[in-house]
Amino acid sequence: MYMFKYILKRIGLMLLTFFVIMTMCFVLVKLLPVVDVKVFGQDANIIKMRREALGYGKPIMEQYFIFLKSVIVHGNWGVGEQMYTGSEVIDIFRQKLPATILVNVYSMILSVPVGLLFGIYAALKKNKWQDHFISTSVMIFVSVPSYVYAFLIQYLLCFKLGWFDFIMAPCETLSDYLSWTTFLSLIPAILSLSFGTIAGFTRYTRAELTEVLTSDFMLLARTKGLTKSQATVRHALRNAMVPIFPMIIGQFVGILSGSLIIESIFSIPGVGGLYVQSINLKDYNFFMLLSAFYTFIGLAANIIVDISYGIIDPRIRMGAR
Amino acid sequence: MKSLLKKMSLVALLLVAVVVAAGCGDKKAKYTVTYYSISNPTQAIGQEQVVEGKEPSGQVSGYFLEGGLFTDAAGTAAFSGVVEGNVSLYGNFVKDSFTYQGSFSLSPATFNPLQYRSTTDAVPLDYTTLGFYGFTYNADQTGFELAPVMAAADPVDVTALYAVDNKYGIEGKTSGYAFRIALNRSATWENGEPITSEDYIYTMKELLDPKMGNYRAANYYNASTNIANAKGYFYSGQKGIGEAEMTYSVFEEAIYDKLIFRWDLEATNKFIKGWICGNGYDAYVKQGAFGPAGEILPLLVNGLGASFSFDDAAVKALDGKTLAEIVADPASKTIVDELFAFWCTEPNEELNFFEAEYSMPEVSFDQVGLIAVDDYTIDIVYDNELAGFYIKYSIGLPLVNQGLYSKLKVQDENGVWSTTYGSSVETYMGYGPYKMTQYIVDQLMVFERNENWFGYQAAFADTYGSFVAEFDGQEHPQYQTSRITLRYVPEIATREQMFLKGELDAFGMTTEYFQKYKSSVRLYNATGASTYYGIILSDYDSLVAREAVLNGVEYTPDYKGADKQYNKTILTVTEFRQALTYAIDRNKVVANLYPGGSPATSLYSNLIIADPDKGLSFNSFNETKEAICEFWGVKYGEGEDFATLDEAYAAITGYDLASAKKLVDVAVDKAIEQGLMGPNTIVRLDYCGSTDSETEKKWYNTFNECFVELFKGTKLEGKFIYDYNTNLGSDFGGAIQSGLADTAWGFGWSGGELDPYDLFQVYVDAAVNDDPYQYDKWINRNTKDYEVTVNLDLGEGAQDYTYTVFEWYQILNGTHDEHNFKYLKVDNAIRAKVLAACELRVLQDYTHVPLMNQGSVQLLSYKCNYGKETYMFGMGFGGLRYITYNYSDAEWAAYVKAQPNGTLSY
Repeated sequence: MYMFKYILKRIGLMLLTFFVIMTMCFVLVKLLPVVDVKVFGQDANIIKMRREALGYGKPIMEQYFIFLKSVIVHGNWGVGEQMYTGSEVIDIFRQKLPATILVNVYSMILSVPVGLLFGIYAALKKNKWQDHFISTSVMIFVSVPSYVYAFLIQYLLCFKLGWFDFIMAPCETLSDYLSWTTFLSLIPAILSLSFGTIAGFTRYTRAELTEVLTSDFMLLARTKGLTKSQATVRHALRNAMVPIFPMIIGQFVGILSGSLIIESIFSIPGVGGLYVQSINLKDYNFFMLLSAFYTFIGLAANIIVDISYGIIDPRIRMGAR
Repeated sequence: MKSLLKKMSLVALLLVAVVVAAGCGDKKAKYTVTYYSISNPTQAIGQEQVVEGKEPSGQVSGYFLEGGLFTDAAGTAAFSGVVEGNVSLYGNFVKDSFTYQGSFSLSPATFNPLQYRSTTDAVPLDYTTLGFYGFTYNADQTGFELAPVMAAADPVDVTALYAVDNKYGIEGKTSGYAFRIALNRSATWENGEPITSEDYIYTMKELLDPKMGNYRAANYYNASTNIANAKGYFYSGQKGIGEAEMTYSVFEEAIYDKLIFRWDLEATNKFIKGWICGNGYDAYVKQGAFGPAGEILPLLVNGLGASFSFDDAAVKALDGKTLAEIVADPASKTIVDELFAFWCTEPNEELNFFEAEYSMPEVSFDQVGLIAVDDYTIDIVYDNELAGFYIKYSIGLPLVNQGLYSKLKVQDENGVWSTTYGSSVETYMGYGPYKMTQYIVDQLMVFERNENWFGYQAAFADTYGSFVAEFDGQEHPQYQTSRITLRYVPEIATREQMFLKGELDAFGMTTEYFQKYKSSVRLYNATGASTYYGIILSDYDSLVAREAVLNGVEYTPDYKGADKQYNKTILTVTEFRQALTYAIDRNKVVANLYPGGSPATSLYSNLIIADPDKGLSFNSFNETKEAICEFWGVKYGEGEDFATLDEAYAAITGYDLASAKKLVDVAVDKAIEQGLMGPNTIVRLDYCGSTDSETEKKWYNTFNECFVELFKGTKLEGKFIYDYNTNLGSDFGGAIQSGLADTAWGFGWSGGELDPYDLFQVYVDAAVNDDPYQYDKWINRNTKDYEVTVNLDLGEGAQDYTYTVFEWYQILNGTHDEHNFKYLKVDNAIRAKVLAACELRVLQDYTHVPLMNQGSVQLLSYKCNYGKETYMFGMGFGGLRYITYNYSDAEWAAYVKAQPNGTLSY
């Protein structure tokens, strides 16, 4: 019951926060100056008239209420004006999101287990050469930005060795996205995204596990007669996962925002550049849809992460006094 | 724990082994295959082959190329080998395919022909649409001509037919305003349905529908060629607030409550500002006209040159009130009465001070100058005269498919109209040589031959059959390209690698890549029509205001630059701007910033055509060359450095450091003499860029290096700072127009390729427009200072004609009361001579600094050749129509594979 109340309260607060953020986004983006490029022979009135028709001349709060009404009552997020002109912004977003999710999910599938394994191994071999080797490698991989790997991987695996396509295979349907051809074409991008993530998980896991392995209860577990493997898997790992699991969830949330540079290098038609582009081009409908999406995902993820603490570690009880 | 680790290691090893086995075990088995036709599976076709490949499972259907390679789709090689054993493959023979593999880095926002904006948007339209008349090579392929395409024949002048009354505003005209176009009866939509007059009429009606806000509407009412009443229809019934003269011609008491007083001279009262500027009193806000608190007071100057100072605050307080409200208050009435008394020299000039609501007259589409005579004949009436070359060049109409377009137009719950026409294969229909067959947003565009296009019919073989290619002198088919695939590849490094692997057929490059490939035989340099220039601020008021801020003091009337640390107002000294202009090493600028471009020494590039009938560029006229030589101080003739004009003109580089250094010293002396600066003052100017980026910094560094070099050994050595400023954002053009920056570089205009006279507007329109194109808008080129005298023979013997630069612009475009030098009204040489004189006068302000002419460089793959090796206006290198192929797709795949490491060398 405590948990239920707690969740309800968090959802209520989340909706309030969401509304405040959305309002701020709307007002702020409308305050940005709009610069019209002068084109010889063009009639500037056409653009002004279109803006008038779209209600851009009205007071900002009035525009906001019209926007809210359209979204809430009619489920209409509007059409693209500067980007993907005439197309429903929600449709374009739906078209572009799978590519981003796909490449990042593949990357996570690779990164999480590999990162955890390396982290566990390094923790178990603490202060031995294996640990030093892994820790040094981790520092290198954490420090180097992912686009550097991307260029290297593309050059070596695609250009020199010819193992993979340079860019993602064209995908139109869900089955295209899930096809083997697409998967193969995504491998360079997956690897580029994974190196940094693997390094991050390795470092974090090693640190947490090292701390847990030296705890008193681990000594107790061993004195109870458990083998080192049993004690590590059953007790140390579970305790170490308390902070690591939310990190995994956080990574999944980050997935949705895409990676602008990786998407650009491998021609992945994802959402990576959409947000920045919508601000640069002042495409308000795209900007508001993306703001709403990311704000909602971010807020929802926070709640999920908080709740997950209670699931992973029974000692943590949300909402209990 | 050790056992756990062992197990994990074992699993990892196994995984590695699997991966290694998969990667290294790529020893392709050899198979033999017998080909059978799908239509006749019992008859073997093609010979048995032994090739490397993957084993087919059962019967595989697909396509075979004539060379024997197996493909999984027409025209694309699936695997480089085939199959053996007792397996039979079933397939069809297909002709060799020739795919042009291109790329794009930005998806079109829309390819709706009524709404597209950028060249990116226009890419699908380039392949799938055509105009009434199109550029083609002339008979001996040395130039271009305009030939009928969607039209069946040349246009016929039917002006007399529509000049009987004033419905189209051309009453009494005899020729040049209305034209009859016979439509090409073989033209169809890509689905085979005929294109008729009705399609054009429907499209125009939709285009001019104001509720759609179609971006391309202005092309037909705001350009140099406008369809009669198109603008009226577009604005039909529109209401708004504008200058009172637009609505009322008589100033009378009955309209007092309709007149809204406006005192923002800068922003709204165009008439007063225009009059003052136009009559030479451009500094109507004079320095020195200060109030008790140091505030600047407007100083009106009437037609007699008498000035009138007044209580600015009291007048401003009336802003926005109706005249009825003003006259109701005696004090306010006194103010406006004084203003009227001072200003008005003609009846009704009181209206100059007011705005009023206007309502545009209702215009029905019947009044628009587009008439369907029958299904295949259309008349177009223009509100301006067309003649000679410009008739076929200007006549054109857009097309959208009626059935599709009407279905896709939607209105949302807020009453806003929009359309998805031109956003996918399903929402678009073309009628050109290619049709779009696949479009995946931000991924892929595919175009294939539109077999319904009339050009592929035998009846048009004379026009679209074969041609003689320049590279081998042999006959080749036109439109040999069977398929166009454009992949989304935003990253240039990726594009380069794909090009080297034969996956792209062209690679456009930036400076870094240009250095790498500049000696390649496959490098093509395409000249563009635009010229990029820099702008140097010369407006004293703007400069001194910002100079004061820079020196940390408040600007007051007694501000003295001589005792300040920093100076900007030296930019008002012409010699200083001239020095900056001479100091720019344009070859270095091009090499650093713009591969493919060429140094520019005038306002127009060599591709700007001033005599379209003869195809002569503006820069080819002697008068133009003389003007440019004079501007750069290059002399020719006996005793000079150059013997002939052509030699002198060809030698101009726009870089003369020695002269520039001397000019710096002259400018410093003048500036000190004028009290603008002291001998130890540091000149501190800013470079205005849009965003802080590596490219922007590269631009800044290039100019900074030129200027540092300039000041060495001059009186400003060690006393010059060039600030990098990107704080003004993307509207840096607007910033320099408003005097908020000292220098900005890289401006240019497109759209005047065949009409430099019309394009000249961008240098003079501050004389009439509040929001002009003119980047140095603080200069009014309709004043006495800008009078230019040209000696012309207009049939009455040679004599001098003197007009302001702006007036000459009007004369050249047929909008001046005294003369009309529009196309064909006078000889093209006369027009060019006048324009050259005006160009020189603009250049002599040294506010426009020519930098470089537009251009681009790209590598073309060995797979194909351009029709022409030399770039020509209107034709480029011949475009897709004239591209020929050295290899079919299959042959190309094999060729690339046979290269060392499968990598091509350029």
